[in-house]
Amino acid sequence: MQIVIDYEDPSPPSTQLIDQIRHAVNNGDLKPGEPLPSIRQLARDLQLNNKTVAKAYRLLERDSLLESRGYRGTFVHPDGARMSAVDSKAWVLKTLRESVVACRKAGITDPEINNAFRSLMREQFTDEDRQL
Amino acid sequence: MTWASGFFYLAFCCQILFVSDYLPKRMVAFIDHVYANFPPETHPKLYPVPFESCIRAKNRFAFGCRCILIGGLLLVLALMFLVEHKTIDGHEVISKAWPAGYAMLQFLPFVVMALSDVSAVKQMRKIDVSTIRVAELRRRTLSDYINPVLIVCAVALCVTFLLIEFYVNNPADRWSSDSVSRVVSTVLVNCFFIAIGAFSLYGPKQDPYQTQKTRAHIVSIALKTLAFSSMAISIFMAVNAINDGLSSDAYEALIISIFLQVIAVISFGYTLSKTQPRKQDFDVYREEAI
Repeated sequence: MQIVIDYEDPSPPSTQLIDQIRHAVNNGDLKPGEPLPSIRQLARDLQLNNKTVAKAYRLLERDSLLESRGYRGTFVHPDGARMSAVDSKAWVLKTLRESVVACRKAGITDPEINNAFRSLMREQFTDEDRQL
Repeated sequence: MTWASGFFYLAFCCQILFVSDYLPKRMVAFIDHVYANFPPETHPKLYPVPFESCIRAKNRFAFGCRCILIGGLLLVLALMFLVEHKTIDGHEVISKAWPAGYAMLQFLPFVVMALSDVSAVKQMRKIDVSTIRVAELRRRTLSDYINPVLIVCAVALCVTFLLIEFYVNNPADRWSSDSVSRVVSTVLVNCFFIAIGAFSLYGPKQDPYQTQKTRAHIVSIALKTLAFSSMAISIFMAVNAINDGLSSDAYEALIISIFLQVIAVISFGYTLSKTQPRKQDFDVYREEAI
């Protein structure tokens, strides 16, 4: 299983990495429990910053596609294949689209929506907000 | 001339012929094969420097080895008939500095060749304009490239040498400078081998066009060479320690010469025999290759 990163691609390397690992888990190229290369190894092979690979792994761990087992490294999550079908990006886009449509219907202008979104992103959320 | 001296001259001649004639011929044949089958017209990426410079470097290497070969054979004659060796208990003792020092000179063209190879690969990385990077999504482990038995053997031989050294030249009784240098140099060389092995296994890819398969093949050869070299060094040091314990200086030069040939066979000979062009993917050096 090979990972191909194109620096000229408009999407950032971490996104390319996430998409390819997600795809590999989804179509069975990566089996549950299979070990993944260390962050340092993959970063060196792809000539990326360690932080870029670490970020990709962290996001995939959050989505339960991968799991970190401490010093033993990173592995494909036992539920990885099922979780890879969940497209978090599509879900975020759908949710935001619904909100934007509702705001526009209410007569809110685009700059106002934009400003509100930015200030919302700057806010520190509590655990309760996250659960909502 | 004693039996020990006779065997030494024979071994030293073999060392000179093997390292400065046989190995360079094989190396030049390998280079010629690559130049003939993968010329700059079809594989331009293989030549980051002008092709004429590559030819010159190869000719320099061949010429240097030939000069060292002739010089070596003359040195053997000089050692036999002109140089006066010291005698201990009526036995002629040839200094071990002769085979060791000459071997350093013999290995020099190979070192120069390796350094020019490193700078060529560096140049390859500099002119590589590809924006695509490919990596295997697979964890690299030592056991994928080398049989663990070889590693265990190398460690066991190193420990055996240390035990022999401590037993024969008991440090509580007499801890000679030779013993210290043997123990320290063996430990340092093994640490150096571990560092080289770790770099080739986990380090960044040096050749930007190399495929994962070719890289795996090269890493496997490098690790095996390091393991075999480590074993050879441990055996050599153990034999030296025993020789030291028995205080038989007459065989030191002979042992050194044989050891150096073994090292040459293991390092250059093994690498040359295993690094065959058909086992490498040269298509990556074509102009149209991504």
